[in-house]
Amino acid sequence: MARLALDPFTPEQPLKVAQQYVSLIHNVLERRNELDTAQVRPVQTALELIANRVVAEVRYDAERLMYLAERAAADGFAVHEQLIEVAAEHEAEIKRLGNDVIREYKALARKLNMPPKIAAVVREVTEAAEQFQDEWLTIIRQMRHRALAIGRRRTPEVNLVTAGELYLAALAELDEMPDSVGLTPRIAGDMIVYEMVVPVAADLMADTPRLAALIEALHDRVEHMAPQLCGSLALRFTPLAVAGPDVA
Amino acid sequence: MSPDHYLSLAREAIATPAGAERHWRAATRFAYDAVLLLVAGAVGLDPATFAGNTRAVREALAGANTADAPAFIKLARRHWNTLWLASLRAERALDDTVSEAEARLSVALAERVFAARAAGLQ
Repeated sequence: MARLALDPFTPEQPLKVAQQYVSLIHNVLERRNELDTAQVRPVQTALELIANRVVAEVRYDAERLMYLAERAAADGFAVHEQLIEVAAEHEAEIKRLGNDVIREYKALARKLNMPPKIAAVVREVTEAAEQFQDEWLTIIRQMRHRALAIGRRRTPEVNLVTAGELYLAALAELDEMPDSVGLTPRIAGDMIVYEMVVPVAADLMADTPRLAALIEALHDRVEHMAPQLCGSLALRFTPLAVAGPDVA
Repeated sequence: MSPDHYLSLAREAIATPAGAERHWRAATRFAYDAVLLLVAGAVGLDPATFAGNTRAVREALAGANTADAPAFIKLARRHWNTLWLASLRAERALDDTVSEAEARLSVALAERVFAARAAGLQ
């Protein structure tokens, strides 16, 4: 089965930003009586810039995965459940951050006595952390909803699995049916392309004109059966491993 | 500079005396680049811009009407994915081996596309 998250999309990066927000809140509360708020501003601004960049990257990664899942579904591979798994991993971290960490600090801040200026800084940083958390959660929820929608969609009857079967049938017709043929998903740019790996005899592998002619014959057959599937797979030919002499 | 020059580069790389894997990798890449540039020109996309990126050219090629398309477009459609993945392997997958036979095959497939284009122009 195709692994969708060939480039893993983990909560690690946004979590680091959240940790920096928590660390800032913690430091402000700890040094509330001697802190100069002017020192906090540049840190706050820098953190805001980092948070905006990370939200943009999280959105890009989520969009990329959703796109790959849409394409995989259209190609006949149901991989939407992998999106749900990724979303669940992110949601667990977001929930932990919101419920266990930020909420705890807000409760703590309410109990502590501090100058109004510091209280205002704590409120601002907490609001910024919550906004970051909300934006992250919105992206992840959108991903889960899209995965569920993809799962409800009907898979097209003619898809890449069909293409694989047609190319296999063509190989058999041309007497080049190998013992094993693999259909492997490959990341190509920002897309997934499926590659059929066909082991062939070493003499055929070395004979480029004959191999090229075989490839054209394969495509001819598939084009005749289903023109829209012709060329939909990448073909890779590898030399068949030659069994070595038995060693007693 | 025209797409044909990239095909010439691919041929030169494959014909290098005492060629090694780096030559096979270069030939594989140039063969794909030659086809990419040829197709981009045929579908009216500029590969130097975002609008003419690999995905856009591939989508335009896939969307071309097979029945009416020139022979070289049909051939390019057949071999695009094969050439593309071979090129990506040659360019990025340093741990993977690119053999002389694979490079020769990429060049041969690209040559077929160019031969069909030349035949169509006559």
